[in-house]
Amino acid sequence: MRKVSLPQWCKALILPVAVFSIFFVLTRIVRDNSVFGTPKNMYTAFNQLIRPTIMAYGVSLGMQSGRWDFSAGAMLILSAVIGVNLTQMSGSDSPILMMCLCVAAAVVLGLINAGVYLFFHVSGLVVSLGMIMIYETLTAIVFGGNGAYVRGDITNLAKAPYSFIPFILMIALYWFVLNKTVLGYNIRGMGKGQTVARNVGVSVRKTTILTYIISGIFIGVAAALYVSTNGKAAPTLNMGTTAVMFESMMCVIVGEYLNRYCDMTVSILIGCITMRFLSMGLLCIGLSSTMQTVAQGVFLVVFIGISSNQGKIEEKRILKQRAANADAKAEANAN
Amino acid sequence: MKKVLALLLTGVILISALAGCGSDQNESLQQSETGVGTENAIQAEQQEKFSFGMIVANTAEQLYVSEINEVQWICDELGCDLNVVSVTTAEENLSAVENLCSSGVDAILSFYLDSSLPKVLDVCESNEVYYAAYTRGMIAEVEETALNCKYFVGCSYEDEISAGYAAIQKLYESGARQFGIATLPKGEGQAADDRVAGAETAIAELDDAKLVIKSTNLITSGADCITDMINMAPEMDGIFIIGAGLTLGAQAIEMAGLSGTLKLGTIDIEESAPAALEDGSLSVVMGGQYPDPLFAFILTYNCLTGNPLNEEGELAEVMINYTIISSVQEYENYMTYYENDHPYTLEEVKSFIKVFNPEATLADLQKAAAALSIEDVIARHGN
Repeated sequence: MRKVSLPQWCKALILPVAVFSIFFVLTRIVRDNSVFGTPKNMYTAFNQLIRPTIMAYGVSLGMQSGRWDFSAGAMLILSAVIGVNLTQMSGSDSPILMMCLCVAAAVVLGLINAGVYLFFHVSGLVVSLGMIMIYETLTAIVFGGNGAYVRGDITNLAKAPYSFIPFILMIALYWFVLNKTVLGYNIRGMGKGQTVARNVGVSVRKTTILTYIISGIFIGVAAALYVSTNGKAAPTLNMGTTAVMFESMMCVIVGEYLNRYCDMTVSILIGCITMRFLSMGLLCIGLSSTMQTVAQGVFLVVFIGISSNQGKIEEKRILKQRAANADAKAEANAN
Repeated sequence: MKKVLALLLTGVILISALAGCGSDQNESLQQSETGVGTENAIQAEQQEKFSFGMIVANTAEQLYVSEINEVQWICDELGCDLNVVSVTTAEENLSAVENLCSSGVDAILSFYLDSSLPKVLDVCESNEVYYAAYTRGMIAEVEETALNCKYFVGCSYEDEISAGYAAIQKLYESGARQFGIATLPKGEGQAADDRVAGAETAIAELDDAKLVIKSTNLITSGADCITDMINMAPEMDGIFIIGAGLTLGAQAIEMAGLSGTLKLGTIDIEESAPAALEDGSLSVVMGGQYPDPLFAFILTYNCLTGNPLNEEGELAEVMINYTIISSVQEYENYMTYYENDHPYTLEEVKSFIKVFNPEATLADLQKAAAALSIEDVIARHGN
C-alpha cells in the first residue's frame, strides 16, 4: 500500500483537531445539549484565546533566548494598573490611549528586568522571581493601591470583532521580529547557548534588552485586553500573578513542540487553540475546576513525555524492523 | 548588726514597692468587680494599653484594608497597638501566631478558625495571649477544645448561608428564574460553600426556579468563567457569583450584550457598583462585612480587662448581617454611613465594653450585630 506523507503543516493540525474531535464526542455523550463545537461556542472560544496568545508570544521570546520569566504575569497586572489610571487621569476613555499607556508601562518594566538581569549576572529565573515580588507589591501601592477599574467604551478592544485588530497586529509583529529581523535570529541563537552566541558575534546585551522591550509590547497589549475583559486589574500578592502567566506558558510549551512542523508564530497559535479546546471541553464535560487543572496537568505531562521521546520510539521501531529483516534474511539463507 | 539592718531596710523597700504595684492592680480590679470605674478614671492614666496582633488574608484587597482600618481606628481610640500580618495558609497562621506571641502581643485577631485551632490555642495558652476569630464561625470538631481553653475568646462571622439565600431571593424578585452559580471548588472555602448552600436552598424552595448551571472556575478563569456560563447555558437569566464577582461579572454580562436581561447578584461591594446598578448589569450586591473584626475586638478587649462577656463554658459567637444594596441610592447611603464613616461610633463601641459600661452583655452585642444594616446605621447616625 502506498504510504501517504502528510505535509508538515497538516501534522501541526493533528493535535488540535484530535482534541476537538474527542471532546466533541465526549461532551455529547455526557450531555445531550452540549454546546461544545457550535459556531457560537467556537466564536467565543476564539475571542477568549486572543489575550493568552498575545501573552504567549511575549513569554516565548524570553524562553527562546534561554530565559524563563515568571514575572510576566506581575508585569501584566502592574502595567494594566498604571496604564488605566494614567488614562483616567487624562480624562480620556480611549481604548487606544489605554493600550498605548499599558504598552509603555510594560516596556519600562521590561527594561527594568533587563537592567537587573544584566547588572547582577544571575539567571533570568532568579531575576523574575525577585521581580514578581516587587511588581506585585507595587500593584498594592501605586495609585493608592486601589488597582484599576474600567467600564464602557474604554473596554471595546476586548469585544469581538474589535479584539481581532490587535490580535492580527501582534501576530504580524511576532512573525516579523522572529523571521525578518536579525534580532529574531539572535534570540534563537542565544537559546542554543549564550556562550556560543557571543562567540559568533551576537551582542548578548543588546539582544537581551531588545527582547525584554519587544516582550513588553506584547505584555502591554495583553494587559489592556486583560483589564478590558475583566473590568478590573486588582492588586495581587503572594505570587498570585503566576497563574495569569502559566496559562500562556502552557501554550508556549505545546507551541515549541509543534514548531518542528510549522513556523513558531503559527505553532504557538495552534498551541493556544489546543489548550482552549481542552479547557472548554473539560468544562463542558462538567469537571470541577480542580479536576480541570489536574487534567490539564496530565495532558501536558503526557504530551511533553511523548514529544520528548518520540525520536526514541521511532528509533526502536527502526531497530526492530532491521532485526526482523535480518532474521528473515538469515532464515532465507538457511533454507 | 549593720548588715542585718541594711538587709532589713532593703527588704522593707522591696516589699513597699511590690505592695504599691499590687494596690494599683487591686484598685482597678475592685473598680471592675464593683463596676464603679468612672469614664474619666479609665480614660486617664489607668487605661491599659494593650497590644493586638491582627492576621489578615492580604493587605491589598479593599475589604481587608477596610477591616484593618476599622480595627486600627478602635485601637487608636482606646490607646492600643496593632500589628498586622498577612497569611495564606493554616501553617502560616500558626507561624504568625507564634511570631506575634513572641513579639509580646496581648491578643490576636485572626480570620483563621479551622482544624488547626488546637495547635494555635496551645501556643496562645503557653504565652497567655488571647485568640479571637473573625469572619469564621465555630466548627464542631474543635469546639470542645476551644471552650476548654481560657485564652480562646470567641468568634464573629457573617451569616453566609442567609447571604446566599437572600441573593437568590433578590434575583427572583427582579425576575430571574433560570439560575447559574459561579463559585470555587467545594472545600476550598467554607464561606463559599455556605453561600452556595444558601443559594441552592433558595432555588429549591422556589417552585418555578431552576439551577441550570454551576461553575467552579471563578478563581481560575475570572470573567471567562462567566462568559463560558453564558455560552453553555443561554437560558440562564440570573447568576449568583459567590464573591468578588461584581466587576468581572458585570463586565462579562455587558460584553455579552445582556445588561438588564441577565440579572447579577454577588457578594463584596466594589467601586464599579453604581455604574453596574445604573446600566442594569448588576441587580444586587451584598457586603459591608468589614466591621466583623470590630466585634472580635470587643469580645477580646472585654477579656483583656478581666470582664469576658460570656459565661464560663459558653461560646461567645457574634453573627453579623450582610448589607444588601440593590440601587444606586442604597449604594450612596452605604458609602456615606459605612465606608466614609464608622458603622459604630466610639461611644457605641464602648457601650459593649464592661469597663466603660458595666451593663454590657453578650446578648446586647449579638443583638446589635444581627440588626446591623444601612437602615440601622442611618437610624443611629442619620440626621
